[in-house]
Amino acid sequence: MARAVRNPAWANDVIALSWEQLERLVPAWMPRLEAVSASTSGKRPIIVGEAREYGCGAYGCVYPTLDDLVVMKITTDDTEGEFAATLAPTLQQPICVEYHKVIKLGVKHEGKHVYLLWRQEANLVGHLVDVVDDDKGSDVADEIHALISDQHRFAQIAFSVLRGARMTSKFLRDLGAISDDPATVLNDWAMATTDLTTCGVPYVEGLFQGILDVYRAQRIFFGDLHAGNLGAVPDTGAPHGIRWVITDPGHVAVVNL
Amino acid sequence: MTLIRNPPWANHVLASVWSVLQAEVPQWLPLLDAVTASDTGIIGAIRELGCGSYGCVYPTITAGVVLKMTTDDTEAEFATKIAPTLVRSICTEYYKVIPLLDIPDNPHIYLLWREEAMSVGKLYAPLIDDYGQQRADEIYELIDTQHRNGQIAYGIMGEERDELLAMRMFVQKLRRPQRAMLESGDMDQALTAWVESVADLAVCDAPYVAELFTGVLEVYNRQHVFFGDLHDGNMGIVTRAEGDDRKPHWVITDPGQVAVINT
Repeated sequence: MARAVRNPAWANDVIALSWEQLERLVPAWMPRLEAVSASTSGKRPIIVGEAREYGCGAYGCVYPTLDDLVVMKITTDDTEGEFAATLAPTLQQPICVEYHKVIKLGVKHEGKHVYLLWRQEANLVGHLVDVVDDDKGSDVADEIHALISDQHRFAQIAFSVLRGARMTSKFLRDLGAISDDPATVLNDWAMATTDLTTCGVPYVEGLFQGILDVYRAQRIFFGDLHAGNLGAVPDTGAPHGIRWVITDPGHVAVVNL
Repeated sequence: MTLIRNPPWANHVLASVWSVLQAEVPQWLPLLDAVTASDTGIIGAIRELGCGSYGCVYPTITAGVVLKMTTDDTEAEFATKIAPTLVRSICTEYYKVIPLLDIPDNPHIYLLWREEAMSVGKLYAPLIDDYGQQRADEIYELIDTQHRNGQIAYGIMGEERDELLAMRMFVQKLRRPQRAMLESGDMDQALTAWVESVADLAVCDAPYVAELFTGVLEVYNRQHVFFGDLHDGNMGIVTRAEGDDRKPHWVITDPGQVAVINT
């Protein structure tokens, strides 16, 4: 399959710069190299290889590692870096991929710190609606897609407001926001999330019930949950042996209102 | 110190099997040095600890484990079949052997993963520190004698006596009885001489040398495993757990020219 977005040069630089550090700190989770060949640099024999990413997004890329069950993510999203390091281990519900290690590198990209995260590998990332389509038919899939999009829109509004955006913001207006009161927009998001807990598809309901439970019990808010950030991990206790989780928990905030 | 840089043929072999190594022994991949980014990916040099006539030794991403690439069939066979059976831990421990059968122009290449040894080839310095120059020289002479006897015995059993006799540098260093032994081709006599020289080392002043050669002698006596190439460059220190402690031991790091004697 062709890669949608190629490993960007800055991410490749990060891997090269941190290679020897990774060999010392996380030898079992080194990025997997592909297309390795021999060459020379001057008279010195060298090898050339590619760290081929699974996918790249706005904040970075995900790479396979030497461990089939663990992927490495390069990200400049400090909320995910902080979430992985401090919040993920405390979650009362298993709604996220499991994080194994976080390293904050001493390098920056576009003024932002670069983090390396190692986490459980997820499958079917971005394919929740396709799975529902196969499972329940296109009408239900369309409805689930609409509900998730609605939840995402309210989440984006809420995250922007929590970051200080007001109704004068074009971004908020474009999203159809009708309030910039934090409690109100968070409540709107919670309502939209609640709709997903009664959508009639058990594995979708289970995930969003967990998200809501975490929000209510721990005040942890997820501001960027769309279908592309959800994937499946093995779970022998779950129907079909998989459990749907958040794979890319960016725009996370702990809400103190 | 690196004596010989990772040669292009060895670099080629490792590059060509890199995907196999990632799949089969990800924990023991070679370390890369001087890694930089290129337009298409990652460039690095495989770090080596040293290269010799048969191949190279490389550190791996797991501390304490090295990768050895060798064209020496006898070491590969020893690592696979004999090393796990030794009644005394006189060698570095081998963890895995992968024969590479599909390398063009190189039909006999083996990848061996073994316990890392330190101070390889550096036995002389601690002997001087511990026993003084004269005694160190005496022990070294015992090691040399044992090595020459081992080479003679291995040469005779491998029917390479004429080749050895033609090696002027080797023959010049032989004492008269050793030269006569080589010329006669009497394998029993050569093996006896080797065993006697190993026994001399087993009772030498340096306990760490004596421990190793006591083990060599016991392995020979009980298992008939003969080591024909034991010189100081093939010995090093490993640190092994003993109860709650970890203790250093001198062991054989490069057991080439090994034979099982059928008496």
